[in-house]
Amino acid sequence: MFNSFGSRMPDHAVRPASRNKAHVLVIEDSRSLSSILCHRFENELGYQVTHCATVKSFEAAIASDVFDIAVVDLNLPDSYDGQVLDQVVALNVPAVVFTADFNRDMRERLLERGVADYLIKDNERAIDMVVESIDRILSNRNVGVLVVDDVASARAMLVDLLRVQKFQVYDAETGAQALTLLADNPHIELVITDYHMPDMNGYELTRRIRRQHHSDRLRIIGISSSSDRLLSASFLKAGANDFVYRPYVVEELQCRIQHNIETLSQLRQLRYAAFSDYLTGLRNRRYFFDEGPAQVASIRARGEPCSIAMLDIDHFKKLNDGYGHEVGDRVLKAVAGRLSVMLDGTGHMLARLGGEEFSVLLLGLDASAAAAFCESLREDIAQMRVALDDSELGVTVSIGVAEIAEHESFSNYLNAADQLLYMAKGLGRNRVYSENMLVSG
Amino acid sequence: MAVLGISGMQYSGETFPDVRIILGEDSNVFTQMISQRLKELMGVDIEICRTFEDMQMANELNDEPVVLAISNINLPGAENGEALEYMIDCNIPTIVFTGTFHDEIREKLLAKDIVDYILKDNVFAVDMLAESVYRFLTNHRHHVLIVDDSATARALLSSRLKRYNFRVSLADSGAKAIEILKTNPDIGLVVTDYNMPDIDGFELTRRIRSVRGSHELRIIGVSSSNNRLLSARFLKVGGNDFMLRPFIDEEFYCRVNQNLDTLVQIRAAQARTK
Repeated sequence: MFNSFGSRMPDHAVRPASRNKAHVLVIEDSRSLSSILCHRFENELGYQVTHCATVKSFEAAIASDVFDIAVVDLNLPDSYDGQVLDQVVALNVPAVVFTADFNRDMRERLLERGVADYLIKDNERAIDMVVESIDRILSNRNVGVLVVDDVASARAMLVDLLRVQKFQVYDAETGAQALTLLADNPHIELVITDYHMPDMNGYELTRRIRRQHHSDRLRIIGISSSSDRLLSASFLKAGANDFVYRPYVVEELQCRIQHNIETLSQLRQLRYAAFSDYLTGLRNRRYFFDEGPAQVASIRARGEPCSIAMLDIDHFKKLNDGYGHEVGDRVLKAVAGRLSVMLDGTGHMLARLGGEEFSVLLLGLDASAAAAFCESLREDIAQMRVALDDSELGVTVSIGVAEIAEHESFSNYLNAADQLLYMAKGLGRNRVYSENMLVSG
Repeated sequence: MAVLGISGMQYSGETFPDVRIILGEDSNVFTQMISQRLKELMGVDIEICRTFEDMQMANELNDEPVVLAISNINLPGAENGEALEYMIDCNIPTIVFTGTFHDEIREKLLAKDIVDYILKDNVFAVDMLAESVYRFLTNHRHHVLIVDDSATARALLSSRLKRYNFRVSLADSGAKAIEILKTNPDIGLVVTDYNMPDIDGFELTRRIRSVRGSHELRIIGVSSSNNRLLSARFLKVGGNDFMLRPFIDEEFYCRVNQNLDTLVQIRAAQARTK
């Protein structure tokens, strides 16, 4: 009966106004509830909010605006029996129903209409739960989920269930396809896999996935219509995070999916907190030393070259003393911003090591290619202007580049680059110095 | 440095040089692989027993108690599972490492009160065994609270969890559970029944969640109700997992592990931000 979701919720249903400032429509006739909801959406989550207490004002709102999501009260003074919900669903706006009366019939009807979530006004945490639900569904838009099932209809049911939750959904018919999709789409955070499949079963797939992807980055949920009660334990033992038998209860599966996604999001936030530099938002020294050695090892194992650059802002101390720390910070942020734009998509690894010192791990580049690349960074920064209150400021950087050729400790590589940076400074600053120059010079 | 095992369990890098583990296994390939892996991952020097007699001697001729036994079902000198029976009779926690497996053997094994069993049928067998050993050695760090108004049900869950080496507290009502949680902030997992006279599992979960998030405390609901919507309701109010009774031992242990692994991962990530 849930197969009909697909036709109601096509892929292009998501029309995010902007990733940061989502537009939420609150359809609720209770003055107190709606004012709390609006307040929390605006102030806690920074959303744009439009409130309507009647169908009339709802129609006016949708005529002039596009919404990312709606909180829907089923009964309004001029709408009974959830007509307004039908209108929201028809617009392809994800609906979170917030209702006082609830029973099994209503549940069936809500699921059939493809509501993203429903919450009952029966406890003191109900408002919290609505706010959490909205926040969750909006952030699902950035999360990839992969469905693996060889039976088309079963796959479609799962895909529909996920689309209603606004995930970016991928689907595969075989284990082999699933592995390819995973390799190509690193933003996939969850795999839902069937057990019985012709090429490799879900258990085998789980084990293969776990060789490369650990459960702090990728979650796996097994699913099966098998009557073998030991299957769940074997899936979990093989590295799945959860297991559900068919036929499943839609809400239960949704909850289990969300729990896994939330766990990953908590872990990610903690990782970022530990690894970012508070001022510039770049990766910090800790990340560089944590991640760097593995990157070097893997590129060396493939026999590809690799270099490391140390970059330092020229005369930064003078600048700090002359203009004050606030301007110094502004310069740091500007240089960091330029560097991350220049390095975006290159695969190289950038970090602020501390003070005015940055480092880049240049993967796949030998000394001369790395020096040429750093030269382009230097030129770009030399042309940049940092705006002050009534004037502009130019900055230059010096860069030392060393190729990583021998197997040594990671800090030795950095020391080499640091020595070369020192030589660049000695030669008058605003220049790149690499070991090739050392040999020829 | 901490590494994640295949099932998501975290090896903290800690070693257990003084723990006595004996391995009853007559295949050279496996004894070598297992001793090497356990040495690498947790600094354990296992004692290899190739026959039933070796095993009895290792246990009886040394004053230092055996903390854990890993044993094949059959060994030379014990072709009908006597080695396993011997371990159980001596009250030595045992992980079974076996090539043969069918329902009948499984029933027999579980009836024997073993810690876990691992099948040799795949390339991950030794890694899975290592994880099982590591879990047993570190499970006592986890404090689990069982909430159930039925004394039988409490005893059953508690004996299982203790077999896995967890620290266990018991509550016979929701109110008692809340009281215990207040005085024991180290509890990381609550396993709660649904139907209880004072506060049901649903209400208990809601109350717990108003003060403690799932990044610090995991909640697993269990119930013998046949209302399938119960699980969704329970998960929606903040439960992390839900199981319908009667459930099988392996699944219960896996789900407990799964939830505690997540907790350990979050705690480790939190510690890195400090």
